[in-house]
Amino acid sequence: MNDTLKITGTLTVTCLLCAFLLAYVAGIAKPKIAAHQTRERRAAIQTLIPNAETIRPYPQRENLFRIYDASDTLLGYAFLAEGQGYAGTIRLVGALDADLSRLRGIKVIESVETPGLGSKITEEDFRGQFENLKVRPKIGLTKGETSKDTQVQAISGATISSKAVVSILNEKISLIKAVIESNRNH
Amino acid sequence: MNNFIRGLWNQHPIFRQLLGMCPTLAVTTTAVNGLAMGGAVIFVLFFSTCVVSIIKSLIPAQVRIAVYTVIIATFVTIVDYFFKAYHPDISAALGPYLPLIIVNCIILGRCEAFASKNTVRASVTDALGMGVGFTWGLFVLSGIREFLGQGTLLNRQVLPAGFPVLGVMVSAAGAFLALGFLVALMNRIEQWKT
Amino acid sequence: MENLILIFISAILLNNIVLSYFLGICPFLGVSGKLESALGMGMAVTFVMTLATSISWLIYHEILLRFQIEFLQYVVFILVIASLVQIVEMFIRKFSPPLYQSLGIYLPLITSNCAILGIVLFMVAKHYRFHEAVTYGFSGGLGFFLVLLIMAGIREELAYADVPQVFRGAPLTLITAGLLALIFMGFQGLLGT
Repeated sequence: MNDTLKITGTLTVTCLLCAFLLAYVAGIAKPKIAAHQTRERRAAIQTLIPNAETIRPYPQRENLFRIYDASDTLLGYAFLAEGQGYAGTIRLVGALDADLSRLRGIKVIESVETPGLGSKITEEDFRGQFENLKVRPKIGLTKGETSKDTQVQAISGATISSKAVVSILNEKISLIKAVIESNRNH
Repeated sequence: MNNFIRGLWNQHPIFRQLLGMCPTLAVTTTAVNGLAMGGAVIFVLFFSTCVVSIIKSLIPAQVRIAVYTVIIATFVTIVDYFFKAYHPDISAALGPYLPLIIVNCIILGRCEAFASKNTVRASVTDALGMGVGFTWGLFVLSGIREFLGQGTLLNRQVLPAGFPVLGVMVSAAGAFLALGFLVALMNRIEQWKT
Repeated sequence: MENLILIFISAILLNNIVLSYFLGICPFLGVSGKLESALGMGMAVTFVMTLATSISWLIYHEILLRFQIEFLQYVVFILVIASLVQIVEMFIRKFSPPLYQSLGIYLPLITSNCAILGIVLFMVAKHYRFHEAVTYGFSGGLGFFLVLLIMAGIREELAYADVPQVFRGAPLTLITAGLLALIFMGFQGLLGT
């Protein structure tokens, strides 16, 4: 009985002490980490919309932001989206026009796709196709030449990675449309 | 003094004891990553063995491993937050391998085999020796991989541009091959000495 | 569904946890000498890994994130794994002695197996949803199992080969693993088009 008490006591005390220490450390580190993330996000958004000045989080939505220029006119919306690619999670930043009809561009910020094949989703040839791409009714993917202004060409040898990027975008954009339009109507 | 020297060669954690293999192989793509990992391990090793040797008489034997693990995990979390807050690029490069220091057998091994039986001073010297040994091991391995795989060293171009590099050295396969040959080389050196 | 199949294939062949994430190298070097022990270890790891990812996912999302105490995640994960291994061991010993005979001795080794903590950390880093996390844990375990078996098969044959003294043991195993990793890189083209 005495043994059980001693064992439970030691474990509880150790865990409590460690928890307090960590809570203290986390309290110091968290604001710094948040500041880094804001800075990185800002840099990514500015590569997509160069004249972006103010970035405000969309009310009650994580990973969606309103973008304004220096004279405070709405330029568009930026978003963070992620989904399963071929080899792992693909995470990207995208920006939409103010009327939600075109993409301003995308930037893949994290991916582990196959080097030389799927990894081309981060390269200019593929990424550039999304600049000023019409997104209504939705983005399409083709293996041949593009025939519509909503289409992008898949990377040869990496259809799954290309398809993943397109479906991450389609899913996120339709969600954003629903959110923004329902807010406008209210 | 013996406590310190031991970890540098005779009981070298990587080449002689083959401990802590996952970080050794995973983060040694560039020398900077290797050094950052080494530094993190030294920090955790130093403080965990220090705490363990201070409180060794207070811990009931049945739960000692659990207590050591909690202590190690706490210090690893602190290092993790340090890198996230002050060096986010290194934190991103090390990824989940930084928290994996928790199960790095070197640390639990030193707590259990040495710090739980020795004075604070001896434990800390031993920990520093092992940590420095581990770090130079990482540095050599990552230096070789970075040099052969990218033609750079500590992010500085060493080989002339356009010189053919072995891309495979940066990949997972290269890690296994390089470490295999290094351990064999260490065995050879040991043979010469005797 | 397509997602889950991708995660499954990816964790076993494309990003095998041993050959491309370097997780679980210690048991890989230690246990892979004999086919029989590789079988036992592989099964035990697959089992615990599936359980560990499910339970850690629930704790991480339902408790740690909800109360914003995610700074405790590493401490909590390692405790979850350690207690899980204990419980599984007691459970198997009580209800299936034959299974305990074959798995029992490998269970305590699993706590210090970095593959389990590794897969849990990767699962958190990849932001998986619950069913994806469980699939990931299970297929990660199978991937470990597969490579352990291949390696054990090769090493049983190698035992009869005449190898230079300095390469015996660990160096040879590491180099064999390197060649295996090269072979597994060939799977990168699978499903490619």
